[in-house]
Amino acid sequence: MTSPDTTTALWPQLLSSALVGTDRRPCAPDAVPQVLAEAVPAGPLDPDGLLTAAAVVTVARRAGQRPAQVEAPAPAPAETARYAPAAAQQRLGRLLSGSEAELDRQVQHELLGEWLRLAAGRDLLAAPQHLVALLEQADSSQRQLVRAVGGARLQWLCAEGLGRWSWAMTAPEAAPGAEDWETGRIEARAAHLARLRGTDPAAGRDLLAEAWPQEKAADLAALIEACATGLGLDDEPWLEKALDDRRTQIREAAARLLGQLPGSAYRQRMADRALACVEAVKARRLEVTPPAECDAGMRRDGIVAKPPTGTGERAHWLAQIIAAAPLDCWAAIDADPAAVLNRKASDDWGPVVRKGLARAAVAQRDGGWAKALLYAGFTDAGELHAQLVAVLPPDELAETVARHLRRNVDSGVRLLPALPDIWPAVVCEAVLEALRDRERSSGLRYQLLRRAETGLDPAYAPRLAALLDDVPQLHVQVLARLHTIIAIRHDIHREFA
Amino acid sequence: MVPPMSEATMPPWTAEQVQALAPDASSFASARKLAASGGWSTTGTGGEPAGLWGLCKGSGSSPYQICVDLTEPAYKCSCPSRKFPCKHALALLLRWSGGQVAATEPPDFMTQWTTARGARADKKAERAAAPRTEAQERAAQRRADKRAESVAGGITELRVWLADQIRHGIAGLDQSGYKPFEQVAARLVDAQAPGLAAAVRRLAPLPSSGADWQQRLLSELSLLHLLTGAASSDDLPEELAATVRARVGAPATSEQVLATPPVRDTWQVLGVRDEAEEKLTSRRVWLRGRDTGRAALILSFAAPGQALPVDLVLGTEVDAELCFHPGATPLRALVAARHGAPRQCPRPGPVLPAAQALREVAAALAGDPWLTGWPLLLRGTLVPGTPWHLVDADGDALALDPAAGDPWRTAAIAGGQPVTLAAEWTPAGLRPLAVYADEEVVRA
Repeated sequence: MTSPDTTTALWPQLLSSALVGTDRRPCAPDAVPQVLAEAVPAGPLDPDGLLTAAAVVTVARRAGQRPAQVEAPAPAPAETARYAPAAAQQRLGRLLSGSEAELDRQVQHELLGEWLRLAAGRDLLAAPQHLVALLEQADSSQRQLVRAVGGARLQWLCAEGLGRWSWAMTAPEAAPGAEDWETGRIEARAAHLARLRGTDPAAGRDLLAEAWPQEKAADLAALIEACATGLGLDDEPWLEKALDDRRTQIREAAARLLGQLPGSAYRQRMADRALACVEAVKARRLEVTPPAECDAGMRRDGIVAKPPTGTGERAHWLAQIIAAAPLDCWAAIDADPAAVLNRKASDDWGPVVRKGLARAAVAQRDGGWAKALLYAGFTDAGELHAQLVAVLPPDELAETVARHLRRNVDSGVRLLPALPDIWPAVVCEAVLEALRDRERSSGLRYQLLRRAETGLDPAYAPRLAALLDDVPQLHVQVLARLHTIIAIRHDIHREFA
Repeated sequence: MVPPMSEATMPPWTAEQVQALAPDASSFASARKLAASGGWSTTGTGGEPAGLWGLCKGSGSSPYQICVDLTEPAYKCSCPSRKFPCKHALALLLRWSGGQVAATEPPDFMTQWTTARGARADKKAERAAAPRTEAQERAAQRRADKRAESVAGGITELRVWLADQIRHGIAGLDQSGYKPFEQVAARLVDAQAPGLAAAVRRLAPLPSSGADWQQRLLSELSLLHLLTGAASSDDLPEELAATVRARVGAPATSEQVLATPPVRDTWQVLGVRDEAEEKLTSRRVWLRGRDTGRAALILSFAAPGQALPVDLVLGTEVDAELCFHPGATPLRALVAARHGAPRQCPRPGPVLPAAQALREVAAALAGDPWLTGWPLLLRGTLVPGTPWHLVDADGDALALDPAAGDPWRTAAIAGGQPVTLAAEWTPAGLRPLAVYADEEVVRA
């Protein structure tokens, strides 16, 4: 290979005749090395002679191979963190090779995610033999975790891999600078602006102002959003000016930021509008007077004039105003949100008011208002109810979901996505009850089972096993899969103990 | 296939050995679940030959009866599964492997099965041992003569075909697909030269193997030409003649092999590689002797759905006597006798520097120029590239076969440090078999 090859000249002559045939190109080698002269027939070669010569060269090359001279790479640095326990490593190997019990790939993938979260949460590493499989199999939601459990070896491997797994490298990307801003994609530019706003809001403001005239509407809206970082009253003038822009995207972006800005004139205008529409009368009543028209001022502040089909325009305007008004403005009516909600609204405007308040609670992530609305029996056919539940403080959230599961399984199942990865005990109890009780089987039973596969606390594995002994045979089959998965998760958690 | 062990009680196999028996991954997964379940009774091990038995609760009213003969191994289970061995047998083996099965006297269902199997084996041995009559001897001789004549005819035809390719040129062979090769191979099967037929079939994919395929094809055609010449020659030394006979397709019989002087050593299992062919699964087990430094290959075959022998496990070593197939470069061998149970072998040896490994390969090729695989035990650092290399402490590097894939997993294990690597030498480069790091053996 790298040694002086005595067959270098002979082989091409043999090959050239063999390619087109000795009939068309007879072969008379003139470069038979001394060492091969005895074995290679002399003179013009017939096909047999050519094959004999080729065999001699082939064997001589295979037997005469010499080592190459290659430089070894720099070794991987030593790890500072510890490896996960041996049993956990074996489990990881089975999850990655897809040989974990009789489970489909999707479930194994979810179990892999749980393994990674457990390891990363304990600052433990995956063994080097699993790293390539992790790099190849992790989905985008697991990448951060793979970086965490890969340790120094993973970083070394990715560096050796020359761009093959560049996503996994934590090495700080070249400090983002002017280059990103000038030529980067809009995400990179927005990130650059946000970083700048984090350290020097005024400089960010100036940078945006400079770029403003030449930006496209969509890009400009994204850059305005980026100014949520470091937002202050100094930003109000340019945001107010943006409300006069003729492009809808720009106005909406500016209105969103002004809505988040405490003490802004925008918030005050919305609060004034809201309180003008909703007035306290007597102790227990609200006098509701939706706006008669959508005036220029309302439109400038982002109120959309045209309602969707099936909604009255006055109701549409009212709901938007209440949704955009800061929730603390209602303290002017009652200090306690529950008291506001307890008042009876005039002329059946109650549902519109509540819908607006619910949207405000979701947008402003106000747990107190969310709780008050849910206790007051707020319901919604769409997503709003579940979004509202998700805003609740953690313990309220768990209690609410459990209550719904007990009252009506379907309504509880819809709220499950709002819960943390592993459900709190009170929810697990309610889920076990729902699973035991066949009479309360619901249309969303499959969804409940599927979500329980990842959400049910594995500590409940023995309880679930006991439940299997307790229910009719037909029911057992439905629960068997869930039990298998929870039992494996139970083991996975134990292997980290 | 495996001679019975002489020990009265057999040391349990590892879970990995049991896994190697499983016909597919899902069987083994079910078996692991089953082994951990509570449905077992009357389990035990012992008897002559060494066996394993148990009852396992199934979906029916009576439990399944499972019998395993550990020496072959052979299995019987009263379940209706068509998988072989079934999950019950695998689960029982796993329980045994985990130390959950005690030595006892076999129950009736086990002794009945053992007796029936023994009777069948006796009958077979009787038929085999019966002395041949004179007429049978003459018939056998006639068959052998006829076969030799037929093989000679096949060899002549192959020689002519090879010369024709060179006369008319090989440049266009990438346009004609597998058909020309298949036709020649079929003729050689008819001529009772299966080794040559297989060699011709191996040529078929070469024209579509990418850049420089013409060079690879010419090399292989020329080596086949060399083989036909050797097979037609009457004055080869006996050892080389044996090599040529085996390559043509008439390997030595087990009796002939076991008649050769055995080589006793601590044989280290460096690699186990299975290949599924059309009607046959083959298992290659690569060995090297710790004391003699000799290389060996144990080849076994099984029909689809049947398990291959699992007595030689990667990362273990066993004190045993091997008998080698006769030949100028003995490599293929049979296990003639074992002395004691296999042991874990985290630090195999001796390890060869790259230059010495190449000298060993050259010596092997001098005996058998058709050699395409040779087990090596090396130590070095893996270097990514095209191709990858393994560079040893002297800075000497051996190239890896690019067709074997990029060994990233092995590289991750090594972490840029020198590791002990078991690899198969091939004309295209090294194919990693196993990596030894931190007292652990990982299949490469």
